[in-house]
Amino acid sequence: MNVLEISELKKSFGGRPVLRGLDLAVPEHSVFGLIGQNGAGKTTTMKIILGLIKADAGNLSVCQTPVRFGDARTNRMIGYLPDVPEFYGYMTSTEYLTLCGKVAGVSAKECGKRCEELLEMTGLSSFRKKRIAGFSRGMKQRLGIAQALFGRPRLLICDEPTSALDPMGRKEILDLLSRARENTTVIFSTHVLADVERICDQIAILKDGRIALGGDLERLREAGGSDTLRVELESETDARHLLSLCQEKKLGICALEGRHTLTLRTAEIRKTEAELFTLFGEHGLMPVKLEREEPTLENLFLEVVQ
Amino acid sequence: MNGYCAFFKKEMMENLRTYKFLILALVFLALGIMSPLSAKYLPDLVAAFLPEGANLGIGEPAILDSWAQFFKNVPQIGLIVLVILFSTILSAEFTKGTLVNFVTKGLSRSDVILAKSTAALLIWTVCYGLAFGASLLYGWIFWKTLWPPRLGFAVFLVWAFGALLIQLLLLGGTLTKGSSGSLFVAGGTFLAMMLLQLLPPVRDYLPVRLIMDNMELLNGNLTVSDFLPPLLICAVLAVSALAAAIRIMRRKTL
Amino acid sequence: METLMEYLPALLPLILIEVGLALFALVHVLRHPHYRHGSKGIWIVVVILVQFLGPIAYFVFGRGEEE
Repeated sequence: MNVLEISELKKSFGGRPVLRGLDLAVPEHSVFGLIGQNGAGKTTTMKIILGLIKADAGNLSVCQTPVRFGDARTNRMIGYLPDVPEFYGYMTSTEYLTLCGKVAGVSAKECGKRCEELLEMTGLSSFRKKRIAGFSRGMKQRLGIAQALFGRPRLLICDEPTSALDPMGRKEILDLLSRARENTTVIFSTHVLADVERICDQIAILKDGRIALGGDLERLREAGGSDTLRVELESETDARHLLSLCQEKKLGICALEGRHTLTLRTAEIRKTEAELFTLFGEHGLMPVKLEREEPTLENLFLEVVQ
Repeated sequence: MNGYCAFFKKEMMENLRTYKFLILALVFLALGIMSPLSAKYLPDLVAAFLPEGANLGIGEPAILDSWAQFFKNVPQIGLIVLVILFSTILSAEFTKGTLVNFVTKGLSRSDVILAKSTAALLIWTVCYGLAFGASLLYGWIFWKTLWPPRLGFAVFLVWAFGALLIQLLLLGGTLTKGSSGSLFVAGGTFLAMMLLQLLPPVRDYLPVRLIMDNMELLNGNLTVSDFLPPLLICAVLAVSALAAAIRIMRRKTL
Repeated sequence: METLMEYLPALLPLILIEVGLALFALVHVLRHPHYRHGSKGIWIVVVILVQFLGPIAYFVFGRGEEE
């Protein structure tokens, strides 16, 4: 089942189109990475899903319920973490989460229990009596995740959750998000591809207000197809020997990579591989390693964006 | 209802912990003490600085002089401090974006406005009550008179005007992101009324009379019924300002 | 001097509020070294020397984010 479905979403600000017919479907229990350059429309899309901005055109539904601007119904199923979450500095984290619970209509007893659970999960329990004004950026981001998860949402939306953090804080947030997948579906926007590769299973690349490429990350990689072979040989002489043989036979574009390794880019990877094995046999060259290079997310991204 | 109660508590906690409540209470308490004090001792002080034998025609201070000071000080200083302290009532949330977390959890926007309105009204009532209580106590100590006729109604009029200012601050707050909207709407309405009251036929109906003509009521030159039209208009304005604030808030991009 | 002593009991609460407010603001200025406008020196002077309005101005315009 899809937790979120968007079709033909359009929005412009002051005549400048930001979204021009965006289609998106997010399956349940996935970690969905929304990738795009700055200004590609990531935040706008998220705010429309939350009913904070009115869309010009298009349909969107969360768990089969249509989203309407200014109407809070679908928001009960969504948890939201803004890019820089802002809190009331004069409150302690417990007080803040309790306020969240009351606003969401959770009973007082359940509220206290949930607060403890979330503080424990986000590693903030030892700071429960500290006022939020004294929190570090990373602690605020973790509290942001705690408040977003308070109502056990079916969908957790995070806007660039890691962009303002140091490597340590970044790792903590990514771990939290991938743990959250057990109970919910996570959508997060980012321009850091390493974060996506670390925890996402679904991605969509946003460009010019449309989804330029989207779907299951593994399948996209496969479909992106491999066009590069990497051969490691026993010595530099062998490597140079193979290089000249390949160039002679015109086996695609070859180059030396380091001292013992040769890379081969070709249109027909299976045929080239077969010819390579013939060459190995004929000339007594024994490869230490032969591999097909997986296309990286970075390559996919650059291909789409350029 | 849940959202309203929770947010009302949050508002009270905010006003306590950011010391707004404390400051306002101390200012009003000081105003309440200052009024009878200046009425009682100002003539002595003036006399001490003037040459022997000069007579300014200042009579023996009476309890009504004390209330004259009260109805001058509270609107002139108290209401200004009230407006300045509450001018960030909405802008503090908008500029930081602190409401987003709650609105996305299903907190209705009208509850935000209503909770803020009631919390501010409660604080205004308590602080004004302190000023009134202090003035009452000192008046009794100095002149052994507790309650000149029609005092209750005269005091209530100023409260009503303060309540109107709070709703205007909320309405102005929904119009802009910063605090300029609040200050502009509350200050602008006040200035407009001050100009309009120069026209005699309009003057009788202007809510600004509620803080200008209180002594006329205590002196007996005006009666309670003279104040009913401006009081009614004040109430209508306050309710419409609140309703408009809620309407605009519903459509605001947070 | 005599008149002052006569007035003192009546003036005392007012003086207490004034001094209390100034001290409270002064402690806050010293303990929270971040200000929205102005600097530590300015606020110390304003809070001590300007009666009533000084401390109010500090809490409205000078007080920064907590801690």
